[in-house]
Amino acid sequence: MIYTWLAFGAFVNAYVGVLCLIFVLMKSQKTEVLKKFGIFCFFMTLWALGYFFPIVSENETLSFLSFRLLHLGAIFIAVAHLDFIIHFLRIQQKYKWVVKWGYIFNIIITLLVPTKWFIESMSYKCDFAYWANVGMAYHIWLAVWLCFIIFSVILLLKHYNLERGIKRKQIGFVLLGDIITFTFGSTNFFLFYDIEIIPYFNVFSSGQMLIFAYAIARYRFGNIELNFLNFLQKTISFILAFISLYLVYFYLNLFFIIPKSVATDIVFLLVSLMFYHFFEMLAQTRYFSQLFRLSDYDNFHRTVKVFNKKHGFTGDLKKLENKIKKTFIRELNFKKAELIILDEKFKKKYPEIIGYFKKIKKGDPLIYSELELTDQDSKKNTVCCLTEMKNLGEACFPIYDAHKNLIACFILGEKPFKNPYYIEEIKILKDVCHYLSLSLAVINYYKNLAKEVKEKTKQINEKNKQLKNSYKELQKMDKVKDEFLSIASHELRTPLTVIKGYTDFLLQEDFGKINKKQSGFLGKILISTNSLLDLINKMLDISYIESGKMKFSLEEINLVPYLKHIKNEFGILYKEKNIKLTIKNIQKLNSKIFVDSEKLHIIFANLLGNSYKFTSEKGKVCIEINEHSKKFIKISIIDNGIGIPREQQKYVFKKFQQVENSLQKQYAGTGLGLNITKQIIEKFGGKIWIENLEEEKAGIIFSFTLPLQLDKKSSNKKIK
Amino acid sequence: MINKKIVIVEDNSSLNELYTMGFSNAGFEVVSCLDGEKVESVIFKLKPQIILLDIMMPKIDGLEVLKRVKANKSLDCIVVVASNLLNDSIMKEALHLGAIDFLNKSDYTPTEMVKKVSSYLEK
Repeated sequence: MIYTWLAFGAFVNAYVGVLCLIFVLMKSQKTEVLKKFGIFCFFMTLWALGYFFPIVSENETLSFLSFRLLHLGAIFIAVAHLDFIIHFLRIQQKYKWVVKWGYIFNIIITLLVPTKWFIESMSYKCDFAYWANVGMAYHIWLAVWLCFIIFSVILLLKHYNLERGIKRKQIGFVLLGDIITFTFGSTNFFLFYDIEIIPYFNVFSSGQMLIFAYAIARYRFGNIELNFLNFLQKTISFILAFISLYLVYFYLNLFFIIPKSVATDIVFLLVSLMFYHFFEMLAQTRYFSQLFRLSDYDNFHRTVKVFNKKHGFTGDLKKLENKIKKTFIRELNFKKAELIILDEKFKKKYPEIIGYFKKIKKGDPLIYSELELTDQDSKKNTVCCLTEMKNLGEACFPIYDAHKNLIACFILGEKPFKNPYYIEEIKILKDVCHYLSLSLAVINYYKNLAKEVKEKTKQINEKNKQLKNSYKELQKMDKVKDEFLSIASHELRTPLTVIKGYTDFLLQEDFGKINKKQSGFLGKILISTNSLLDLINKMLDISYIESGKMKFSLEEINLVPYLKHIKNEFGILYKEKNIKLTIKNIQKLNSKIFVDSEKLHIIFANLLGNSYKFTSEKGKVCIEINEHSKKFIKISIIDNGIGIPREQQKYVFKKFQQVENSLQKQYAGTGLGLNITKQIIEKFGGKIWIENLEEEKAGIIFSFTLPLQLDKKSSNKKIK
Repeated sequence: MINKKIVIVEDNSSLNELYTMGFSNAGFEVVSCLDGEKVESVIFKLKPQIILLDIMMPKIDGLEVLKRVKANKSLDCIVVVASNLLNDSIMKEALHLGAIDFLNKSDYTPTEMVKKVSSYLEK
């Protein structure tokens, strides 16, 4: 029994030692403290493995060898422990020499291990078939060894009183581990001095390493991976299950004789599994899992995942801030959770932090408790951030935009139970920062958009105002122009009317006879006055048409009677020159047109007036009506006058254009009539053009189209 | 055609003279006014069949005179507006107020004007 128990203890110690060693080797960031811890674990493992053999061995030579082997580890444990402690307490500079001389001394002792001075011989002791009898060197080594241990403990106690915060807690754990280990571990030495105390509690030697490891995990040295924590939890469950199984076996053995068979082994295996699961479940209960914070991590992982994915992006900064508060403070129990957009005020207050993040650009956060624990050597970059972080919060995550510019900081307070931030959590929080970066980009986009819209709206409003003012101004000017035009034409017409009136009276000889010459002169005055009046009227018409002021009242007109009326009206004038005015095709058509009769009169007056003017005496003028399309009718005015040369025909509808022809100089005219005609026809929706007669025939054809009255519905429409 | 009476309202003295001569020669009994102020009382006294009314006049303009004449039911007469102010809106208003026609003075010699105005009496 005693063999099994001690072998089990040795196994557990070795197992934990290897575990801790692996942990140290796997760490990406190996600090000096961790390295020293690793060395300590190595010697512990060596010692534990050595122990395993002398206990199980019943051969003298093998036992002898094993005792030498275990001491190879044991010799260095104390000095490795001191080395670890001085690095842990950051006092390595001061006590480096102690460790140095300690190692030199231990190496000398190691050299003495194979000699008789260290282990003299093997003999039966207590329950053991072979146990070592030690020599002089052993006594000296043990004395020095104990001094190292006591010195380490004194240093720890001293610093426990000096330090505050997390460091104090860490020291507390290390101290606890030391006391447990060395109190129980020292039971090893009694047998060497023939005191019959069996090292039953050797198994607790690994407790120190476990407690150290736990301290590392809980109040981390550097960063900590969750899987290690998980592993640690399972290991402890496993050890507890084994101890329980042993106790059950031990007590059952007191009362029964347990037969050695395969069935018993299976039963014990099942019972051990049951114990294992029981302790694992126990570890996962709320109370125990708080020791490891594993369930806490699960909850964190789940909640943050929801935060990142389910809510989607918001364009509102307030909403985002509320969301952060809700997730991290209310759901995850962080003391503080804030999104800080970097403004000048923040930059001024925390220049070191900004500087640090601008330099690293990896998204790694600054964590206060981490900073506090960092070795002096690696502190160069971050030591200045310490005071700033103290004011800011427990953790500060940088948020960069797409161009790697630092735009904001995500601040978190202490975690519940002041737990450390695990690497996995930091990874997830980095993802949160990516999400926040995108959210901020969206918010910024909306903000810029709103700003742009606001600016553009302002610009448009201003332009509108300007346009309105300009429009008002133009309206005013237009009105002034109209008034001026009508008044000016009134003022021009009135004296001309007077001249016309008196001349007419004189010509009528109501006030005495005049001679032929006088009559001729007066006739010329009358003609000039009339042409001047005509010019004034036409200019006024043009200005009205062009400014859109001429109003058109469209009405249905029966073409046939209207043309007959026109023929009668102009027939009187035409008779003066003996020109024959005829209408062709009038019988065939019974069309109704849709025009403004007054304006239509202007068209006929201009066109028939032109024909009259350019047709010599006894000439012929014909108004011909033809179908043109479903919607229009074509009217042509054909004369056999002087005609218009082809190359000049394109100019006739332009303002102030009279055909340049020496012959035509004799014809008075303003050059406005055809332009007015064209504009009016176009307002009706029709068009006017010139057609030429067959060659060698004198004269010209003016053709134009007028809209037919199609249905009653459109009869009310007005043209502006 | 006996006892044809006309009131000519025309501020331009030359035109006033011309129209007065023209209508007198045609046998009208003519009273002419140089502004619109006393038109109502003149009409009331003379009781003409027709009034030849200018638009642009000092003191009271032609449209106002037309309004007053038409508002007074005891003054039953034809009003012909003759003006050189060819403005669509004024023309429309004059016709709306009850003028029988809106003539462009410059289109007519006094003789022609007499003919034109007489034609309204014949209707």
